Amino acid sequence: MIRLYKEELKRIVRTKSTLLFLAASVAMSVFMAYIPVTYVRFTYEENGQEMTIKGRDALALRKELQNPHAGEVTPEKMAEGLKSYQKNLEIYGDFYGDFPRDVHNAEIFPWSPLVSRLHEVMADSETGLAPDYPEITETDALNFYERCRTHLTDLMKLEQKNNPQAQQIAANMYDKVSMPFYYYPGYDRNMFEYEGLCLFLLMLLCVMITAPLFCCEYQTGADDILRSTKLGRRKLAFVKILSALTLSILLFALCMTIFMVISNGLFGWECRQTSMQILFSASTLLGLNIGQLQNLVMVAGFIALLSCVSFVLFISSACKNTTIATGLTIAFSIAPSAFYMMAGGNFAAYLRVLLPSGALGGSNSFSYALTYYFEFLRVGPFTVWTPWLLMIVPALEIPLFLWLTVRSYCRRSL
Amino acid sequence: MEIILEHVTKHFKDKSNKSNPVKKAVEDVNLHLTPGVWGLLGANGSGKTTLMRMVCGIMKPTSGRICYDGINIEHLDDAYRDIIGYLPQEFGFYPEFTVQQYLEYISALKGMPDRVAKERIDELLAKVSLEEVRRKKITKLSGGMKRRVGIAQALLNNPEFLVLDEPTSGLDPAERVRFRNLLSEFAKDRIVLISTHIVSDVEYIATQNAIMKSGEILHTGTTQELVSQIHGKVFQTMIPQQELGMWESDPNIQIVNLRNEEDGRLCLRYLGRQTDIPNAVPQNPTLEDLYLYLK
Repeated sequence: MIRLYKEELKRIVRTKSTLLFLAASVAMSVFMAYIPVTYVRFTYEENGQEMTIKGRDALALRKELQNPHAGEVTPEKMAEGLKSYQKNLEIYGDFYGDFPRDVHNAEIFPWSPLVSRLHEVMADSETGLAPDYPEITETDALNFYERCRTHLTDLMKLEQKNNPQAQQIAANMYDKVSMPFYYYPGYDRNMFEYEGLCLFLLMLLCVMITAPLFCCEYQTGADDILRSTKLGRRKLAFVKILSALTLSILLFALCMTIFMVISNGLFGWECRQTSMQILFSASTLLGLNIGQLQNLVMVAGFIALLSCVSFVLFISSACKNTTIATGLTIAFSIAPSAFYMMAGGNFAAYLRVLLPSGALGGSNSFSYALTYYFEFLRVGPFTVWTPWLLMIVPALEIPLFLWLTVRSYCRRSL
Repeated sequence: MEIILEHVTKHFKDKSNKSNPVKKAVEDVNLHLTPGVWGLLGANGSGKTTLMRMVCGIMKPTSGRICYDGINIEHLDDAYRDIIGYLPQEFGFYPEFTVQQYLEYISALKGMPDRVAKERIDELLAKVSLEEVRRKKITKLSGGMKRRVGIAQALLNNPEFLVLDEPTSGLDPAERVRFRNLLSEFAKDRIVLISTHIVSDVEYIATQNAIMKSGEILHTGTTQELVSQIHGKVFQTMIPQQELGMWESDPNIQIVNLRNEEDGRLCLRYLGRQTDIPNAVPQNPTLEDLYLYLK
């Protein structure tokens, strides 16, 4: 069996298309990790002229300006930041139009990650609209963490009006969020989105490697010889599955290591300590920092990737040729993103949970569900937070699809 | 060692034929295979490949059973597959493989230890004269060479039961002779089942033959036994070329061979009665004559 496993792995890796996809995966990881830093921009004034710098230089300057407020997000810092906002608004009116760039960079920009969260949690409980900065008081700022809890309750009442169970779950989850929050400048939401995109593309490349695994034998006619050999049935099916999973796991480990090392290296490893409530929404339900969030997204991506690979193995074992298998594979892989974008609503929400690639993609993805939405789905009498379903369902599907693969392969042509 | 086929039948669904949606590929076949070379003769579409796939355990019979030494092969599972070597009619392979890599892969599938496999591969490549191309991709080989790779993979595990479906298609005459010799040498104490519609492939080496038509086994026996059925029915004569059309349309005779002679006449071998064509001389019947007679 071990010898067959080694031979099968060698065989897959020798295939031209596999080599191409492996190389593409590595190149894609490097590219995806580097791209977000190119989006970073910073505009400043020099000799009366506005200058814009990009990339790593811009990032360094932004970090330099925001670094004095790094560390624990205390209510006092919030109050100080608010004071700076209000003082300048009083002088210059608003942030648009003629607001001097150098004043903005010196007095507003350094505080913006913190004050924007305060602004968010001061939203009206009925309308959900945030007040103007001058309306926020120092007391509000000093009660920032209490306001966070109140805001979450208000928000859930607005978003999950008819689902008290969801409101209760959200409140229970938020009770576990550790406070105070922490902030370390530099990290960019783009990087987080690119992690999701990288996972999605990696999944596509892995399933393209996997798609021909069984059906190319049917297509080339190699199948008859393989099936007539001692290990050519169930054991070969196991070995093929194991090889596909090994390759996917190794590729995932390699590509995500490349991605994490490059992107965190560019943005700064210390940014991983920032609370996700500061980067995304103060009401985010999980008490994680950016590093833990990156890891959780990676774990969810890993589960989804294995689920997709398992599903594709099943498709491959049931299809007559590689073209059909690859076509179906791509269709099923992008279906959750497409449905979520085009149709939306409950049907798309359930479909994305059920399809193995549901946690990967764009606005349908696990990372979006975790950070931007407050989405709950009913499963029988229970209400479950969607991100958990996006992890649990694909995990349960892995053994199911693998069992179906072995069954389908062994029964073929008998 | 024996392989027994009892009432083996295989029916397929024929979606194209609505009035008769069941296609009978193999019908109630009974065979008792004992050590030696067995020739399975039959025209294309007679059910040979389906029968062979069932014998190899790749396909399940619709009814009936196949036993190896008294045990149903379905119960033996991989223990049965351990003793067989199979070369299908269409020899498929992964395009990325070289000859050596392919044989190493198949040897792993046959559960052979690495060292044993390497020795056996060397030995077989020498036997099938493929040593020089062992590092070449199979896709780059000629049809005959590919066939020899197929034969080598079937022989890798030194099988007790070797099943070869049209093994000589694509081989040139010299390769055919070499293949027959290889098989004769190999067949001692083993069962070798060769399906073919090229009668000469098995005529000289088969100890037993089975003739198949429309999914059924019509006759089994040694070449001598089989050809004795048409003793006194094979003749040869010389005819002028212009008479050929007349004899071809004669329903009483079946022309099995024609040869142009230097004097412009035709040497005609036929199945029928001596009196059917003037000056006919009796001939020793061959398996090919019988095959055509039964066809």
